[in-house]
Amino acid sequence: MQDKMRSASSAASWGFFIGIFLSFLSLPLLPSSGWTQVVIGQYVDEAPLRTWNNIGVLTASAVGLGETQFTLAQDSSVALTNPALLSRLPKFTVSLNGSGTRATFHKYSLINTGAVTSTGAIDVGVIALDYAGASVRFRRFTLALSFGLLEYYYRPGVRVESNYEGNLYHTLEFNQDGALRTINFALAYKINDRLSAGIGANFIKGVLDKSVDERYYVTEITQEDKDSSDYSGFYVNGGVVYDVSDRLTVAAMIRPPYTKKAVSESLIRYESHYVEIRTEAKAEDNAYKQPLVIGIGVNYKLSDSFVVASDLTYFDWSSYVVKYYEEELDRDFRDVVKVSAGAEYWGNFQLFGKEWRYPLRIGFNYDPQPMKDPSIHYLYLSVGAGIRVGRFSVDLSGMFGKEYGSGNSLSAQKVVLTLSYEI
Amino acid sequence: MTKTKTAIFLICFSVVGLSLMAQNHWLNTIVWVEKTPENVAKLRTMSLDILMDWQGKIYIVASPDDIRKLKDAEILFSDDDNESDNNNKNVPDDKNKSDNSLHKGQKSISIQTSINGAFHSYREVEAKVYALEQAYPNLVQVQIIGNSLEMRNIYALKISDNVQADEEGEAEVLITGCHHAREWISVEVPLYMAKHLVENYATDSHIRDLVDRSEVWIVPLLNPDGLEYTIHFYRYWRKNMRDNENRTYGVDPNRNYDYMWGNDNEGSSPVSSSYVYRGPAPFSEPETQAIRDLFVGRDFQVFISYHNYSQVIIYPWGYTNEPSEIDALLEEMAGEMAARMERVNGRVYGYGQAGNQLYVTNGGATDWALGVHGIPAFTIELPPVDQQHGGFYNPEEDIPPIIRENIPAMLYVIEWAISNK
Repeated sequence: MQDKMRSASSAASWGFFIGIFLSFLSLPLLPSSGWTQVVIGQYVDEAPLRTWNNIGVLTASAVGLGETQFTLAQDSSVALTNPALLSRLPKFTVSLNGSGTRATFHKYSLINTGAVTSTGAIDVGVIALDYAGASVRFRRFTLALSFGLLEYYYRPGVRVESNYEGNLYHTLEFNQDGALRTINFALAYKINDRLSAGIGANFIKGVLDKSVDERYYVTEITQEDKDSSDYSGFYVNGGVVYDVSDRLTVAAMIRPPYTKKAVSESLIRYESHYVEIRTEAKAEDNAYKQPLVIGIGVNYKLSDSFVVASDLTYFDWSSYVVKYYEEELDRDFRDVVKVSAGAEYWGNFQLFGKEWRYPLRIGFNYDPQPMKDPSIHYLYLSVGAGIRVGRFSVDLSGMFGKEYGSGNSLSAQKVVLTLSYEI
Repeated sequence: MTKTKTAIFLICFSVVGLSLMAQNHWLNTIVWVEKTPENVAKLRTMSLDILMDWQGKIYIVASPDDIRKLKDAEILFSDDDNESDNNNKNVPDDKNKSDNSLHKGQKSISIQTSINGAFHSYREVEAKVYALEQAYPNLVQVQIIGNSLEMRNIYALKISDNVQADEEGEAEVLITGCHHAREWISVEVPLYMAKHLVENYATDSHIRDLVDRSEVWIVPLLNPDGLEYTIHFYRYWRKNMRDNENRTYGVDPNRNYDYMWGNDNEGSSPVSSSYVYRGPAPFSEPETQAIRDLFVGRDFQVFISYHNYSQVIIYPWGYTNEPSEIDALLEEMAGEMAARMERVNGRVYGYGQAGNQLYVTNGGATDWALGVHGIPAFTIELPPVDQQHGGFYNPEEDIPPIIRENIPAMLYVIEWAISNK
């Protein structure tokens, strides 16, 4: 019996280190790829990096489970997706999340859509501290405060230079940057031992800046095109979670439609020896009507240490509307259902006289994008592992995906590290 | 509750230079050479993109390679206002340039609620044409004559009395704008001409007479995809939005008509990255197909195609320097238009045969209109006069005067069509 336990402990230790190792491997080895948006419609400026289908922030546990988030209470970031899960967290938690994303782009803005052509996809990497949050429970109530970075609008910068006889002749620079952040206040209520419900209030703020600068050095002509938008908005999210049995848990979440407002300014400027021509515009009421999101999730405990989980998330993208400088922009989108599934194994071993517990995770994710033509989707595989000793835990996950449908062979990789403390 | 701070930072790195290449137009600028017999002879052998021959200057859209060719051929050239590397001292000064142009220090600034300022976007054109139809249902009929590659409508306005009827005895005139995406002013002029005709119908007996006796067809925005691209992504885009499927984009609609299409590689380019790419076949593009189909079953007497810049009126042939059979008529009409235009604001429009003055184009709309349908056809290159005075950028406050000076020319063309029906 003892031999069997030692054997199991040894195997588990190996499993833990292999999991960590695979997670690290995922950064450099995974093909650069696309959580990017492609297509006509793909090059719209407000398209978030990685995917249109954003709800909340992905911490390491969610990434390791293929973005499965609705039924497993991993950390306080669940406040952004299914706040009902807050009631299942320890009495007090605090979490910090950082991520590194590497992705390739093909069509965006003026790149590979007409004006500038690349010989292949263009890589971009983003490292961000994208979540910090805490939760605390008072009897049946759990409160959470979260700061999250929901979307990036960053694009690979471009500088094209032309030289003539060693002299700079012409340059063109394109830059775009921006992000959308949220402050979330969430409240969960444990209705009974099996059922909890929660609601969150999200205050979003963000910015998007884009510029095209072009200079002709011989004729000393400058052309500039600058656009900037300040985003703001408010939305609520809510959810429930219910233990059907000791093994089976189901959950549902909703994010009603809301409007991301924008105050935007634009400048088109032409300057030569003789003239400076400026066309300036300002819009106070630009608006991006975000879609209804409904999700359902299920997890099933195969044993005390092994659980499988899956989420389905519906995005009502066909209702997406953009009002930009008093015009409704063409966004011919379709509704999509994102599918996530994952499995998590918890093991433990003894080291330095302490018990160390570790999760090993693997996941799969089907992420269809809302553009109709071409119809594209991403398939992701993910792995993750962590370590939990005392009140501290560290989780590390990596996911990699490949895009299908555009013909541009995009791919993406993401590594997420989450640090948590709980009481 | 522990207060948690969020510090967010982005470290972004891009692999850019290795994989990027520009299409040809990035490298180009406009230079000019004096029009001498020696220069003309040399230029004809050099496969250059000749923009314009005007007032003794030959304007060339030149890439660095083209500039090298000019130097190798010992042709003195200059940018509009700069001495060139070869230190040309013979080029004339800028005194002939329009006084209507802004001078530095006179900044053109206006703040609008539309991202493209006072210029019209596709949606705004759409709204405007339907508003005209609604306001003047007896005079205006909106027709969709085609769809662009990105499935935008190409609108035509038919303006006439009894507009619902096809009155065979009436003269027919066609006016188009925005073959080229970046030429925003070329949308404004035909659009406001339509407005001018119908708004003054009730009060101006001359206009009423013209409208009663003619059918004026106005296509203000032929290349809507390209226009939208210039508004939202790159202001300097010229062609349509065709994906040529070889990492190049766009066909020049004004090199895609089926008359002398691809006659040579001077007047258009077979290279898909070129900004004068003529397309894989004549009428391969929905924009030019729309114009071709509009001619079916109609009997246009005259055709005007608006562009900018250069401030000139040019007429066929464009593909050759040989004059057309109606060259004298075309010159007379262009001269009359230019004279009427000058009387409004004092702005001088040059005029002449395109090909004869080295404005070599093939597959162009006006050559097709004359060559296939046998009608007088004109390209009106609207202000400014050159790149240094704005090129494809027009100050918003210059829109009304440009429209005003073009109205008499349009009325003259309608008069001519009626009298020659």
